[in-house]
Amino acid sequence: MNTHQQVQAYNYKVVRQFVVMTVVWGVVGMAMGVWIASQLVWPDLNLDLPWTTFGRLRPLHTSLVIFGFAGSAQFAASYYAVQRTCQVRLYSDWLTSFTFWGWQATIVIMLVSLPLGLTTTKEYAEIEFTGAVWMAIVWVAYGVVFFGTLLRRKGKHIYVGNWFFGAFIVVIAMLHVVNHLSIPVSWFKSYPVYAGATDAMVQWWYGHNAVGFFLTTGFLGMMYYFVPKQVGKPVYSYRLSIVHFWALITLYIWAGPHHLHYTALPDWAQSLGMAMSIILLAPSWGGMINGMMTLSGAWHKLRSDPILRFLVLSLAFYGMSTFEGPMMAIKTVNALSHYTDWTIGHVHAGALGWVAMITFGALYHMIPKVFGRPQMYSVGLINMHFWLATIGTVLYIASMWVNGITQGLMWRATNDDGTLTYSFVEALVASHPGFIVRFAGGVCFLGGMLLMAWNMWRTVRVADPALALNNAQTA
Amino acid sequence: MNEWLYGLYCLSGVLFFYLITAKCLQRHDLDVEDQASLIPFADDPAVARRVEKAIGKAVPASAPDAALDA
Repeated sequence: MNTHQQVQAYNYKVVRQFVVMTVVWGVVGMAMGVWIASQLVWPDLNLDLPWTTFGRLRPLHTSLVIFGFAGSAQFAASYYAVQRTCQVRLYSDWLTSFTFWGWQATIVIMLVSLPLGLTTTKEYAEIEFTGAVWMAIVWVAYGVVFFGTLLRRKGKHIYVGNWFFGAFIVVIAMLHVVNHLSIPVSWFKSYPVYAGATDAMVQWWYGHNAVGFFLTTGFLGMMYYFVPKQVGKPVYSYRLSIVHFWALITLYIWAGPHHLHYTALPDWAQSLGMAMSIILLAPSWGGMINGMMTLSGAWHKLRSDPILRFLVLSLAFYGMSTFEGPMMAIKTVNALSHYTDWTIGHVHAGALGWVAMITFGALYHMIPKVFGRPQMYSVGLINMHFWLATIGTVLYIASMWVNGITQGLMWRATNDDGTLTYSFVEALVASHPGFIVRFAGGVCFLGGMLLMAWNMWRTVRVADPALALNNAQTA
Repeated sequence: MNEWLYGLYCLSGVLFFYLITAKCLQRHDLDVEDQASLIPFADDPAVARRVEKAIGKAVPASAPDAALDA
């Protein structure tokens, strides 16, 4: 393929910027995760400073990996895929550049404000009022660029991957604005307009759909572009992709109440959330099966292509975690699993296994193309990254399953006289070996991420200077 | 919540899903779906040739500059 022509045709500069920052925020965010995992093994590592306690660094970890790593990855992938499937350059170079710098500014606001304890206290929506307003402005600009590009497309049909990216942009805007409706009392302190159970319901409507749309729908868009491209075959069933798209959109938005089982939330809302979560298994598996079946007749490519291995394993973890989620949403199962490490394991099966793995596959596919290289610096390093990421994910989720079930059973155990059999501290002591294994898993995963950063640096560093100059002039 | 309202609420979700999916699949015969599923290869003639060999069907593709000039 003639990369020179593509550079002139498409805006790859912003894709390159987001690709690099995906890796940077991935390293920082995952290092933060390993640090807080180590604090649960060795509590002294909180350094006795308010800024470095678990309570402040945990939201920083989730914000960096969700918005910094996964967010930048989706900007990069959506900008890359929408240009190529519409065969037009991104709408407005200026606005596109604004979305990059604006989004990075948002992450820096999180990086500074969260360790200072400036937080809304709402999970995955911790960024305080001023930062949240800025984030909304950048997001609207993103929507204008994406949909502006779609409107200028050469063909009549909008490729299904772009439907997923579009839904991700629209729904995240709605969730962010509604959940952040609040009354500011200073630049970084505000109070939500909702109260009590209503506030909790709105928060978990947002929280679950942050998973559903920020960490699923956009990544399905990524899957529908990069899996067929890497396999070299069209998607297994285009019809199935449309059916499961609408099923996912119809169902996901109602599943939030399963985060509030056995709380003050009305019982009918809890049951509705549970029912919707169970039905959600169908569209989730529709996407997983569609991706997997795209490999029909091409499974042998897995032997020699580690990028494809990342993409396929991500689908396997997607299938596994979207089976586990509906099971955990059943009220009787939730009575055991809620508030335990099982939830943490479930989230990381999706975050490490699905989100991060498909991001790695997409980045390894894109990096040589947008930086004008024939391939990555080292295929061997991609292979090593794959195994470190896989082992890290398995260690993480297996230890959290064991911990979660142990904790759930110990907390509910009662003596004949009705008193608790175990104290909370006894359950904590029983969890300690699991915390060590989880830390080891995190170190493996972070090690793989560092290998990726090194591989990317070596690939970018040896880029043809003439082509790089040309890129700078034309992109 | 009133039981009837609750039922109506669930039914409206099913109806929305049915109507919107039916609308999107309207006039979607196999040819249309075949063409739509080949969009990722449309700007990449080299890959398109490999896909053609793999699936045994024509995959129309043109390089991006040519596509933009057309």
